[in-house]
Amino acid sequence: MSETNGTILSVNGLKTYFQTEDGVVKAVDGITFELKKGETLGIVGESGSGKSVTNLSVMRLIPEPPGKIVAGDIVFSGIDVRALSIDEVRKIRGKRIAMIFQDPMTSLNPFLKISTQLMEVTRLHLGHTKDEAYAHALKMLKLVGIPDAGTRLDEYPHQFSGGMRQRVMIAMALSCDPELLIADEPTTALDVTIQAQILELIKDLKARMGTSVILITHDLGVVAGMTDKIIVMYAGKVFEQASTKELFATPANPYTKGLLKSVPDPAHEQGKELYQIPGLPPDVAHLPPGCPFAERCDRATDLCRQQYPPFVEINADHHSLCHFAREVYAESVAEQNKQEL
Amino acid sequence: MIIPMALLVITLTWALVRIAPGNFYTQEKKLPPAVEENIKKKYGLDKPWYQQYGIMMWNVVRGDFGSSLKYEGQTVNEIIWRHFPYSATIGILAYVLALLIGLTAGVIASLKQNSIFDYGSTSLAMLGLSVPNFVLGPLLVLVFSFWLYWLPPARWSLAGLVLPVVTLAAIYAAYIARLTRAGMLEVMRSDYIRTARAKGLDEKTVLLRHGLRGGIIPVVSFTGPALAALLAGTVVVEKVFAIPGLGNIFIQSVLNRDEPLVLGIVAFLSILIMVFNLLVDISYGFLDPRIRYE
Amino acid sequence: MSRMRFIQFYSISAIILLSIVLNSCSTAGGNRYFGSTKFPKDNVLRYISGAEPESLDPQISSGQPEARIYTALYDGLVEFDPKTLQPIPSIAENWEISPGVDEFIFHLRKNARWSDGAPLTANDFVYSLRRGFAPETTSRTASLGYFVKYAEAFNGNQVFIRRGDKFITENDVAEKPADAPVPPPFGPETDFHKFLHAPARLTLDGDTLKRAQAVEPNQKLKEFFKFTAADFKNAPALAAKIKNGGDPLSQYLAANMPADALACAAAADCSDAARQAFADGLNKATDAASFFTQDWFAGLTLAEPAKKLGDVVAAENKKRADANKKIDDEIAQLTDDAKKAEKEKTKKKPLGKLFYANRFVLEQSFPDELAPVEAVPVKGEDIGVEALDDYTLRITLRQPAPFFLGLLTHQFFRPVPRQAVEKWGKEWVRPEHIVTCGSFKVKEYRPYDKLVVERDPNNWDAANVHLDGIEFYPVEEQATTLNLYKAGAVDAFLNHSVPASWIDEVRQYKDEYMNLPENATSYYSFNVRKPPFDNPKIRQAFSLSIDRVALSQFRKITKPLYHITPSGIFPDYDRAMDKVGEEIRQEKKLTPEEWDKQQKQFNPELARKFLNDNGFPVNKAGDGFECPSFPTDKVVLLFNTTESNRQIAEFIQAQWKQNLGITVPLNNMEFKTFLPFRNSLQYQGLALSLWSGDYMDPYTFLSLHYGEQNDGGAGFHDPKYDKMLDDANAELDPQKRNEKMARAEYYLIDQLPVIPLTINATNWMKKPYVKGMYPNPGTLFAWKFIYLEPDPAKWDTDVENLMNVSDPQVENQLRALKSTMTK
Repeated sequence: MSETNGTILSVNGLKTYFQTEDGVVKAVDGITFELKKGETLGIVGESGSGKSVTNLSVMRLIPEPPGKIVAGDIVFSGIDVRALSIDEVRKIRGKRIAMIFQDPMTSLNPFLKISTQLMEVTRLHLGHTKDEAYAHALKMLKLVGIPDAGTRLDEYPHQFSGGMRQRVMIAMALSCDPELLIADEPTTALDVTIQAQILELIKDLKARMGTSVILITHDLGVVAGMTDKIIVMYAGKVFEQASTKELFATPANPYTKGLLKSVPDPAHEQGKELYQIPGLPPDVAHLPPGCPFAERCDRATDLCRQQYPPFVEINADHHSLCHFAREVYAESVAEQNKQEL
Repeated sequence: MIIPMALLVITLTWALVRIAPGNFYTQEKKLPPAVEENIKKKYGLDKPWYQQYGIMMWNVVRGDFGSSLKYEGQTVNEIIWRHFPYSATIGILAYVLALLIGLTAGVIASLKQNSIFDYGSTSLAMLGLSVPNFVLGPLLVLVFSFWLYWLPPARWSLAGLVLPVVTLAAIYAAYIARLTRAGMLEVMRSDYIRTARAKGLDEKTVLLRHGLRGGIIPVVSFTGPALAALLAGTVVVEKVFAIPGLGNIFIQSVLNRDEPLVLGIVAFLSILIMVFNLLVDISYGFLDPRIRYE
Repeated sequence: MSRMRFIQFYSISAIILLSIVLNSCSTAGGNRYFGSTKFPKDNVLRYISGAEPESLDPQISSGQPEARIYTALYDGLVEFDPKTLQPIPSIAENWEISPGVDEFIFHLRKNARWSDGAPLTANDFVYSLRRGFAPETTSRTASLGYFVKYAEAFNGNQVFIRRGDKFITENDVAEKPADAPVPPPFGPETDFHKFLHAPARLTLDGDTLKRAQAVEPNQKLKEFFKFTAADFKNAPALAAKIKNGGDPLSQYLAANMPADALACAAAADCSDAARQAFADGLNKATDAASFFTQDWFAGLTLAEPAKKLGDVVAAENKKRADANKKIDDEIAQLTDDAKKAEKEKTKKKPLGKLFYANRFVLEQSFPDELAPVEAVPVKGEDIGVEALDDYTLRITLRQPAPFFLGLLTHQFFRPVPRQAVEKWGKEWVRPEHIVTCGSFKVKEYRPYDKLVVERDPNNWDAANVHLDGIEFYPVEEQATTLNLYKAGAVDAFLNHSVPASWIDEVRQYKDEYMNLPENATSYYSFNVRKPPFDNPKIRQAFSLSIDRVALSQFRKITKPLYHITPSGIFPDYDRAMDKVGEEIRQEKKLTPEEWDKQQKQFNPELARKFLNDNGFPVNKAGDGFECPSFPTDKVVLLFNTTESNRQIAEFIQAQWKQNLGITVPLNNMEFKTFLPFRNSLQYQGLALSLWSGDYMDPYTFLSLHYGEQNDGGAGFHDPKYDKMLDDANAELDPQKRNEKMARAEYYLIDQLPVIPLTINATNWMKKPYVKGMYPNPGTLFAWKFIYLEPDPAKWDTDVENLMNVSDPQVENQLRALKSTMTK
């Protein structure tokens, strides 16, 4: 089937559970989002929120015991991913959907040369000969800005710095010109200065090659400059989704507000404590009834604790999972107006 | 490095053989003292001990271990080179067999974790580890020589190679299987395996091209001490199966107090072990590019 | 359940299942034969010979595996009768024995050849015996041939003593010089023969110091070395040197001689009386004290030999001084005066005066004036073997030895090829160089794998050798040996190879398993030189408290031994023992029952009585006994480490505990450590000993305790016993000789230097199609009698009676060989 309305990825009610000794862990418990062609989606959340699992599920990279995609639809470019056989999924992986991971040190095979690792993708998916693949790999390295690419192509991962390695990962991911790039915390393990470079590189390549991007991170600062829209995940659920601008300007969820407050502000008064959202992320195996964020929320009520909150539509592109979504939204608007004054 | 170590080993061995009571010519009947004098004179045993040590070391450094005391007219070098091929054949075949069985079983077990195959092969490995080779050998002889009449019970021949090689290989196959399984399980959990899968590679390629090289490193580390233990293991197997190998000769030479032969074999084996360990160290460099000497 | 548990459960059940299966299959009997009896495709016997042979040189090794190989490769003057092991003609067609039973003349056949085609003559035997006894050969079995005149002296680097042109004879220095009658002529007379028949020359140790030490205590011998007038080559010059010489030696001599002794110095020539006085004086000076301990000795300039002797003496004294210092240190650590005195006694004094050594110095210092007493090394040419012509050999012994002919079957007396030995030295035994003279010659030799021999067409009896070849396999593991036999990969294996745990199973194969008495005994030696076992009664007590019948049943394959010699091996001797036993019983006035009981040597009551009477009272304690005064800290039962030795020791230890209340501690050592410890009599208490007869005569056992240095391991020496044996050997009538030996044996049993335990039995197997191979008492084979029988109807059955069954082929072959004896 061809693309539908320019939507490249549509995830609907995805539930991915893990069977552990402690019981069933509902890592992703019913999330829905859409990505249009050429868009960049940011998925934000603390560790354990289910953001990585969401993306591994899209590529069906969840290890089958103990995990399992229990429910939901994953439609990529009109294809029902869940219905595919594993061989067909493999044809998509690396070719049409590519993924880069958090730690480039461990994500590259230390025993194989960079050239080998780059070449195998194109030889597999594009049917390159050895020479073609080699030339292509060289081109990709240059594209991601590796200096002296000709020599470095024959080296091993341990001979590259962290930032360089991530560039290599990017080169590897984009080798077959995929339609969708999933970047799972690509800069978390890097220095701040290198972070900026990598993000720039992704932005640049995205513009040049027209790739859609899903950017996963816990760092709001990262998504601010990169994404078109954002979903905030907590305890396996989507707590808020909105366009980037709207989310930052007028969040409609206490959790999102908490996250925003936690970002260190250069204008912050010295000597005053930095804000943290109190408490710890929940144990996803044993979630309480009601709102998962209830015990950490500063405006939680008994209603919150007892009843699961609704997914409130603020406007067409803005939704929030909260009993008091509109109230929070209204507050945010008010604050924003105050600032503008 | 190897040479000084070997010389030290030779000195220690010489001292041990000297300290042990008894001589190569000791026998049930008392030798007339005059005959004993003659023997001592003939072999230079009447000189003071430090002189004998000096003469021995001087010869050894030039590669001359002299002639066997017990087997007149045969030089030590001749004896070693004549019998070493038997031990080497059995040892190498055994280790190759152990690698084949162990690596295959370990890899498959790691893939089908907690399956019947996994449990089955692990149990078999436990048996292999706990049954000593002097029990396993005769057991195999019972089954294959006397129940089935397929193979001869002892002595060197083409068919006669099978049982000693299998006996020797058993314990190593078990170890290697366990190491491979553990190594592979750990490697397959790595991030770079996830990357490989994410690139769309099929499981076979992921396993063989990406997983194996990391997974067998424990086996390589194991090979150094394993080969040393293998040399020791051949002694029992050679005795049980009457193979004319170096292990058999070595035990005999110690019991015979045949000093030159003991020293020669000890020197030979020490150097062999040290060379093996060196080769193992070098092979690490081939396997793991991170530790190559640039 | 968890994974770990599952694995454990699975493994354990697998092991249990496996053992059940194997157990039920192991005792699948019901077959007549043990394993496969597929007839071999070649006419080649495959035999497991034991440990890898030390050497293919028949004169070097004393081992059992080597012996069986040697008898295949080398023929001798005589060969073993396959059943009785008595000597039958081989290279010698027939022989004559002198009336004194101390000389033999052998008539050799004329067609004997080496494997390289060269003829084998009497000269080869002369060469071989000289070479075998030569010290450089370092033969381990030469001592068997010491009966040959001067052989022991030659082998031991000894010397004759010559003075002028006269050699000292043993008679000259004997306590009671015997009048040796001139033996009647025996064979053609030659100068060499005259030399052999002259009174036996005295031989002394080749080492000067040892010689001096041997001479000093023997007055008669010492006398012989005293200076006489005839010793002076130039008396006046010597006297002058002594009188006027300024060197310390001369001064010392002058000082220690009476003044008139040096009268010769003045005169131009000396009278006889003066020379005699001079000699006497010189003797006095030389016998006064040791030169070597004089303070001026070190400063002397001496001729090389004297200087060497001085060094040797000094070294010996230093060794003793060092040892004494160590003992002093040990004494300082002790507190007990009695122990201190005991230790003090172990000190050795420095070498004292040695007349011979002194004289040696003088001879070396005054070579022109004094005639030396020469020490002439005994040479190979002196030993009592002579080739009268190419095919006649005469051997002369130093004493009558009726069993010597049987002794000649031993490998030591088989000839070695001069042509190879002289050309290649010690490498002559390599397969590419070796030359042999037996029924078989070397075809292929792969050490530790196999030795293949094939029929030698050059052998004089090749037409009567039935096997085409033999393959000897050097397998040592008993289980492996049995496995190979069972699988049909070998046809027979060596003695003492069936492991104890298999014997019960193997016993049922009556057509193959050989368990007959051996020419070998096992016993515990006492160290009779150390208390408490220096008392014969105590020794007897310990012997009387062992139930040998029970022991044999426990050991399964042996028979009880009550005497020194094994019974059932020498029928004539057994009869003599019975006859003499009866005589002794009557002399002692015992009833037959009492005598029998005494002989069976199981009488715990008497044992306890002996202990009570001799200072170690035995008291009743509960159900058993106790003997607290017995010094169990001073005795140990020593044996070399094998499983069966341990079992025997524990059994006997239990017997002593039960019957005497004494628990003797056990100790075991590795074989090569054990042997020197026992043989040098360092052990206290008892030590295990095994003795295999060297030849088929009781003397091989009785001689264990003959002489001062013997192989009995007990340190026993009784001149009375020695004389009884000497008398027996001088006896020409075999019957009377047996009786004399029996008397000696009963005498020895009274003294009991050892506890007889068991007569060993053979313990090996052969396939029923192997014929002509008999379980004789020595398990030695004349391989040419052996043949493979393809017809199962003719196979050997019921091997217990095999020795009584007549095999026509073997009988005929024997008859043919013996026919030359009547030529």
